[in-house]
Formats: sequence, C-alpha cells, structure tokens
Amino acid sequence: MTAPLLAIEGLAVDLAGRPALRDVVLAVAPGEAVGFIGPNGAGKSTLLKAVMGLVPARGTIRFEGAELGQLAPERRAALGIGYAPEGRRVFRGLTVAENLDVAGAAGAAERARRTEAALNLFPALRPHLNRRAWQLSGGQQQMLAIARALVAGPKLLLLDEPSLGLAPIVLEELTPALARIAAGGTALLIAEQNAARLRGVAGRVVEISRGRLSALVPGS
Amino acid sequence: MLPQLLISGLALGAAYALVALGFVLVLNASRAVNFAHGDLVAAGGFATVALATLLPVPAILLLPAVLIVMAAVGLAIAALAYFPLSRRPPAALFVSTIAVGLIIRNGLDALFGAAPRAGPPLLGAGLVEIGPAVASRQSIAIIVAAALLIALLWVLLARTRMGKRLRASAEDPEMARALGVPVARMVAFAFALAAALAGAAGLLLANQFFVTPEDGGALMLKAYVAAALGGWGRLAGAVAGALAIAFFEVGVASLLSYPVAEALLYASALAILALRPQGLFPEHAGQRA
Amino acid sequence: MPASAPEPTQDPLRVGAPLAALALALAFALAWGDPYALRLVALSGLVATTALGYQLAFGHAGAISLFQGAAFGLGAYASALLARSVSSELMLTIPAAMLASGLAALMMVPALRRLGAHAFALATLAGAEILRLIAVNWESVTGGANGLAGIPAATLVGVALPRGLPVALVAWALFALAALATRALTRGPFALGLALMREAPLAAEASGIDTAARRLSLFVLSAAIGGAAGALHPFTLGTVSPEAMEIGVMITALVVTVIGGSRRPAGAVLAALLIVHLPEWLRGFEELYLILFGALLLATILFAPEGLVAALEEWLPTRAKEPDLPTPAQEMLAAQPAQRGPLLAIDGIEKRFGGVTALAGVTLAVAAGEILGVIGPNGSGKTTLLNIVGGQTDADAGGLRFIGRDIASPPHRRAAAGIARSFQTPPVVPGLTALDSVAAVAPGFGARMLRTARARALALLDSLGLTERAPEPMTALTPGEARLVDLARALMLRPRLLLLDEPAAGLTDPERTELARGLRRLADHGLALIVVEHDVDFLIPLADRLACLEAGRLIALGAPAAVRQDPKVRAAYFGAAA
Repeated sequence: MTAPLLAIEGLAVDLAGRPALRDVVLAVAPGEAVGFIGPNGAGKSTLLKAVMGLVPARGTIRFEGAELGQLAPERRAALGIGYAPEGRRVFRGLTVAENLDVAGAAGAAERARRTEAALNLFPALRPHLNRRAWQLSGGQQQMLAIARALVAGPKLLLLDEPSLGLAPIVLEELTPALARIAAGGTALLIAEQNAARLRGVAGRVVEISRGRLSALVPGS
Repeated sequence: MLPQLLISGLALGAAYALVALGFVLVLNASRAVNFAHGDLVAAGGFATVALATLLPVPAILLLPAVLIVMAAVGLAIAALAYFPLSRRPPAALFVSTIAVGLIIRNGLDALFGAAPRAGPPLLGAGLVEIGPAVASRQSIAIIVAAALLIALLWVLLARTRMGKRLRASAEDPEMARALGVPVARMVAFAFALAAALAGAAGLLLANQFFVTPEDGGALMLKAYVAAALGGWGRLAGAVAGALAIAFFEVGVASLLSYPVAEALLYASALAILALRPQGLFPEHAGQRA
Repeated sequence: MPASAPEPTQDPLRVGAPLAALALALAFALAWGDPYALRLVALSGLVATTALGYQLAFGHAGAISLFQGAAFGLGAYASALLARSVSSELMLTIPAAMLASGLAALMMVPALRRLGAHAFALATLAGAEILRLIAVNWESVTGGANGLAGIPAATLVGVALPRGLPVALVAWALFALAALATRALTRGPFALGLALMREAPLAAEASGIDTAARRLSLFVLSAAIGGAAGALHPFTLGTVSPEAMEIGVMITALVVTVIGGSRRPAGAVLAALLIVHLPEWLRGFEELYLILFGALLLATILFAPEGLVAALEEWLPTRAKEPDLPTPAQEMLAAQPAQRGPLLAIDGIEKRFGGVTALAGVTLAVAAGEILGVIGPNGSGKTTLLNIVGGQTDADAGGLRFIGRDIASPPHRRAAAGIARSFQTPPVVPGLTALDSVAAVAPGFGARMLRTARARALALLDSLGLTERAPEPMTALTPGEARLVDLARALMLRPRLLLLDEPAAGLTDPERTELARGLRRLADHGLALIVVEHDVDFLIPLADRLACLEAGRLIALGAPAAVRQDPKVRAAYFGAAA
C-alpha cells in the first residue's frame, strides 16, 4: 500500500467570514485520478485553492508526506502541484508560446521536452504558438491552461471545472487528453459539476455539498 | 530651425521615454504609483555628477555604475515603502512613496546643494552635421543611448524568460504564483529596473539640462502624463506619449517660452483626461488596459 | 486612510481635544511678546486650517489630492492682490480667496471625475503645477519669482490687525470657525456614508450614494478652506511669494494630516504646532529637518497609520460605553402603490466580455410582490444579469424598463429609482456598528439627522430580528447576521425591487428559515425580489417563479416545481445527480 501523494485531513476554510469547507478528508494516490462533483457554491474551487495555497486554510494538507502548512503557492508549485483554475486564466497579453514558457523552475532543456510533450497532447495549439492568448477560443484557452500547468512537470494536477463553457465537440478532445495525462503517471484531482464530465478520466468520484465531502458516488 | 527642434525634441523625448517606461513598469507590476520616481531621475543625475568628480570620463562609461547603483536604490524603495504596505489601501502607498521622495530630494539637497549642476557629456562635446541641420553631439548621443536602452528593455521583456514572467506576474499575480513564479521577486525586479531606467534618464539629461534636487516633481508629472496619454499601463503607449510631450514642449517653448510650454502641457493633459480618459491611442479589443 | 477605529463598546479617552487646547494655550503663552514666535503661532494656525480642509478630501472622502498647497497659495495671492489694490479687509479677502481656490478646484473636476486613486493624485498635481508656473512667471501680476511686497496690514470689520498677537489670534479663530463649520459634515449619515464609500465603494454606489459627487465636492470644499488659510498668510509676513504655492506647503499639509490623524481636527492642531516649530528647534540643521519630515512621515504610515493622537489614545485605558439606541421609527416599508404591468421588464439583454458571451438574449419580467428565483450552473450569467439590472454593468444590447420607464444606469441612480441590491460578500466597515452600517445610506448631516437615520435603521433591523445585535460592531456579527444587516441596508432606500445575490450561502438552517420568512414578508408588502441562488431547495418553497439560465440563455421559466423537473434544467444543472 503506497503512501498517498496528497493527504487532506480535517480541512476547514472560511471565505469572507462564512464557512466554505468543513472537515474535508481526502487522499489521492500517486498517479490516481480522482474527481469530485457538486453544485456551485459547494466548495469545489475552494478545495483546490486550499491545496494550492491560494486561500488560508485550517487542518492538514500533506503532499508526499510533508505538511504544507502555510507554504506559499509558488513553493507548492515547485514541490510538484500544478493548477488549471476555473475560467482558464491564461495570460492574455502573452503568446501561447510565452504562456508555456512561464511555468516551472526546471532548466531550459527539460522545459523544452515537457513543452513538446504538452503540445503532443494538445496538437490544436501548435498552429497558434505565436498568437496572443486572448485571441484563442475558450476550448483552446482551456488546453493552454492545462498544457501550461504540465510544463512545470507536476506530480499532481488540480483542475477546476475544465469542461466549463466548452462545446461537446471540444470535450471529445479534452477527455482523452486528460486520460492520457493520468495514464502518464500524473495524479489528477478534478472538480466538475456532474459525474458525466468525469467519465473515462476519473477512477473515483466523490461528492461535495455545502462544504463537506460525502460518500463515493456509486457506479463510477 | 525645424530640424534642430526635431532633434532636440527627440533627445528630450528619448529621456522622457525612459522615465515613463519605468513608471509604467512599476505600475503594471505592483498596481501602484511610485511618487518618488521623478526624484530617482534627479538621483541618477547627481550620481553621475558625483562619479564624474571621482572619475572624469565621458558619461557613457559611468552609465553601468549608475544603472547598478540606482537599481539598488529601487530595491531599497520596494523594501521600505512598498512591500510593508502592499495590503493597505492605495493612500498608504501614496504617503510612503511621497515620504521616500522627500527623503531623496532633501538628501540630494543636503549632499549637493540646490544649485544646478552639470553632468559630463555622454561622449564628447561639440557639434555634428546631419544634412541641413547642425546638432549637438550630446543630443544625438542621447537619442542613440536611449534607443539602445529601450531596445535592451524590449529584449528583456519579450525575449527573456524573466521578462515573460514579469509580464505574467503583472497580468495575474495569483495565477503566476500557482505556476511557480516568485511574484514578489518579480515586483522587486520591476522596482529595480524602473529605478535604473530613471537613473539612466538622469544621466542623459544632466549634461544639456543640468540637474537640481527639485527636478523630480516635474519629471514625475511628465511621466504620468505620458503614461496617461498612451493608455494607462501600455509600454509602447508610454514611449509614444513621452515623445509627444517632448515635441510639444520643445515646439511651444521655441515659439513662446519654456514655462508657458509646461503650463500648456499640463492644461492639455487635464483637458484630455476630461474628454478621453483612456488615452490618445486606440485600444485593442480584448487587451488588458 | 485605513479605517479601523476602536471598538465602539469601549470608548477610548478622547484626549485629543484637551491636549490640543492645552498645547495651543502653551504656544500662545510661550510666544507672548515675541513677534517672531507669534508669527510661528499664527503660521501653525494657518497650517492647521489647511490640514483641516485636507482632512475632508483625504481623510473623509478618501481622495488622494496633491492640490492643497496650490489652494493655499492661490488664496494667498488672491488676498494679497486685493489688499494691495482694493482693501485688506478680511471679510473681503478671505471669501475672495475661498472663491478663487474653490473655483480652481472646480475647474479640475471634469478631468478628475473618472480617475482612479493614484491617477487622481497626479492630475491634481498637474493642476497645482499650472498654478505655480503662473505665479512664478506672470510677473506683471504676481511679481514673478520675487512676489509682491508691501502688503498692508489686515483689517477685521474695519479694526486694524497689526502683525503679532492680533493676527495669531485671528488665524486660530479661523481654524475654530472652519472646524465648527465642517462639524456637521463629519457627523451624521453623510459621514457614515463616506466611511462606507471608503471601504466598500460598490455597496455605497448600490445604496444610492453618488461617490464621485461626494468625493469631488469635498475636494472643492477642501481647496476653499485651504484658500481661506492662505488668505491670511500675506498678513503674517507683509509679502507673498511663490513659496506659498510650492510643493513644500502641500507636503506640510500632508505630514500634518498623517501625523495628526486623517480625520482628527485636534490632531491637526497638535501636528501643526509640532511641524511648524520643529525647524526652529533644529536651527542649524536646516536640510536635515526636511529629511526628518520624510522619515517621520514614513515611520508614521508604517507603524501608526491612524496618526499619533490615535496611537496615544490606544495606549490609554478605556472606559465602557453605554450603547445608546434610539427609539425605532414607527413607519416601516410603506405599502407599495399598485402597479399596472410588470415592475421590471427586460428584453433581449445581451452581454459579452471579450470573446465570452455572458448573456445571449434574456427576456423576462417581474411583477410587484413577486419573488423570482434565478438558478443555473456556473458561468450561466446569473450574476451578470443581476449586475445589469443593478446598473453595475451595461448591457451590450436589449432593453430594460423599470416601472414602465427607461432608467439611467449608474448604480446610485438605479438605487434612487427604487432598485436595491445586496452583494455576495456583505460590506463590513471596520469601526461601524451594525446600526450605523445601515444608517450610513441615509442622506443628511449632523447629529439630528443621524438620530432620525438610526431610528429608521433600528426599525428595519427589528423587523429582521436583529435588535440585540444593532449596537455591536459589524466585525462581531456572524456571516448570517451580516447578510441580514446588508439586507436592512438595501431596504433603507425603500426600494420597489430588491436584487439578492446568493443570500443563503453559508447560512445555518435556522438562519435560512428566518431569511426565507423575512423575504416572504417583504414580497407580501409589495416588493419584487430577484433571488439568485445555488441552493435550489431554498428557492423551491420561497419563489413564485423560477428561471434557469444556462450559457447566457433562459432555458426554463415557470413554477418552481415544474422547472425543477424540466429535463433541460436537470441536464444543465444537476447532471447525473438524482
């Protein structure tokens, strides 16, 4: 039984004075793809932000056995946590190539290799390397956001509603790409609004409601 | 006469462009105005004057030292006046950077006195013929030096990884952090870079225009006007704005007088702010202002 | 300036005013008979008055201005020119100076209107520079760099005022007058509204407060007061020169304001006395004292941002304060007049942000007394819809009519027309009680209007079950209570339509029940409500109709139970969940 890559215990987060997450317990094994679903306001984004260190949290988050505590987001990224947020948030004024260049601390050769790998996953981005990111479509921006996070070589990739606002035809490209990322050994923690979007990617789906995680969604 | 004015305007505009670029860099990176920015130009000018008394060489040789010294000053300002107050409302940063400006300005006054001082020329004195015009070597040297520095800045921002990370941090600091970019370091870098550019402008201006401790106020204002004209936050716009200001100044001064030129400049700026607050240059759809 | 203040349940000993009076008396006593010392006392009075004016713009309205020095200088020149050519009667020169400085500030308003904080500061600096350049260069009028000499002594209602004690007394009398005159501005609902404006400008706008108008009028008033102070300056020296216009005066006003406390008249007195006399004590270290000012300013903003007087008061022991609640007003929400036709009708509303379509043609109507719930997945456009109705955003296409009319779009105008809005994150102004947070949106100046506003606010808080919590500081309330206070704030405006953005989020179950009951009561009174919510179960029993948005389109509209069962809604919203 391998030690979990990510172990969350008793996580509680308050946002603007109101309780957003309570008593969250979750573990992700190395290379495992875990999804969690829930309606808006349930706390999905908050959970991912807490793991990334973007919101203050109480409780324990352990990554590769080490307690993250109040570690800054950039340090968590250096440890191997990647983040593709809700709404993509690509750097609009930078080109696709520049967006990909920004992430990660590894040397140029390693980053070039990873960039190439990311572009193989999302070949639709190749023709647009010198385009400014604001000119891309929603689907292309989503691919860029994920590719960008991958260039940092994360062991765990956090994805916040990657399917949001994407046409079904785009989703047909995205889902296998995510599955390939998982197959490649990167652990995934994906938030989605419903389990249908996670089919084919997540091995295990948990439900989150009003800030608390409930039992496994059966049949996933 | 006209070619003369063009060259003077270009030289002044080139120096102003360096000041405006630094102003906008800090604005984009930290969302804050450094009210001591103008005083950094004066500091650069006086640093040049001081170095020249130790080392009587053309200013171009002093430039690297001035850049380094001013970069250090920029870092100090970030450490003293920005980072401790970054979570406070904008009024706090206003007060702290004004305080720093006050300290710099009066420190320069205490060290050098209030009388105008001249810095060494960039290369050498003398005149140069360009077609029908006769221009001072200094003017040409200023234009070339500033252009080189701006080109270097462009290379830094567009071609180096550090520059890309700086731009990403300016656009979305939270996302940049989530990608491993040390945003605080990028902001400090922006302050250092801006101060270096301001210092370079001081060095360039010190020979033809002299330098006094009180120069900072007007320079700060002109950097602001340049940035506002060019579309708040746009680097290329700031350069265009700086050139526009310089040509206006030189042109009106040759017809009327220098103080009138300045007053008309500020009045025109206020008029433009009233009528077209987004600046003179067209906006790009979808781009962050 | 940072707005934190001591918790109102514990009242700090207000030592500022007695200390200031003491210091002033001491200053006069020590200066007795010494003309030079008296000039410094007079100057302190002028500096204090200038800073008092600056407090209005900088401290109360939160406007970062660099114009105050120029206002002072302009007043000085106006007064000097009048004294030399017409009369040195103060009843003429002071108002004339105020007019000149006020007008100069007024002329800058069109440029300042749409500027953010720091841009505002720099624009005011531009205006100040123009005035300084005029003073230095318009030699025929202003005497150029040397200024004008031979200013005759002032007279007050015909009585001659020689330099020395009389001028010093008048200078401080001017301060007292200015402090009294501006008292009503800094007390009362208007002042509370300013606090809301500083901390939560969006909520202030949505509450009918025209933040730009308040900010700019206080800016003009502050310049006028600076002009009044400047008017006396030539009479302390017998001359006027561009020094009265220079950045040094502005810096002095700023230093005095920061060190004394940006909303403390007593602080202005103490800081002015200190700052004016400091160079005297440091005679021989001329350049150093300006550096010292800078260091003092930096240290104050870093370590004692509320000013030294406030810092001192924090150190002293406090005494328990009696909460004084007014009697709640009898009238509550007036019954709404009957309305023919829908209260709100929106038609084909479209909104795009860059390449993303937020709303793609939404049409619906809301009747008086109706509760319309709005649901939809993330990114469906619910909040955008609310922002468009509330006026926070403009639609790209489509029409909106309220009570059958088009309405102007700035949020404060919508609020005045009868559309009130609550926000996902209720505004919490540190230092304000729940009662005052609600009273802040009422108009009016002075203590009497404050009592009226508080009475109304208390009545509203009563109706929401918050009577006991009313005197508590906002920071002490639970999120559910803060939500209800925000609701009370929205209701202060007597709206016809209320927009609620996720009011139930983060509330406990009993709080949700109480909220639903309160909302139902409001609808029964004739209010129309649009409630955006994630929690569909909260809306089902509450709403008369439910609207479901997806990707910017209205995909269902009707009775709540029917909408919930609608297959399109289930697919979009619930997905695989039962």
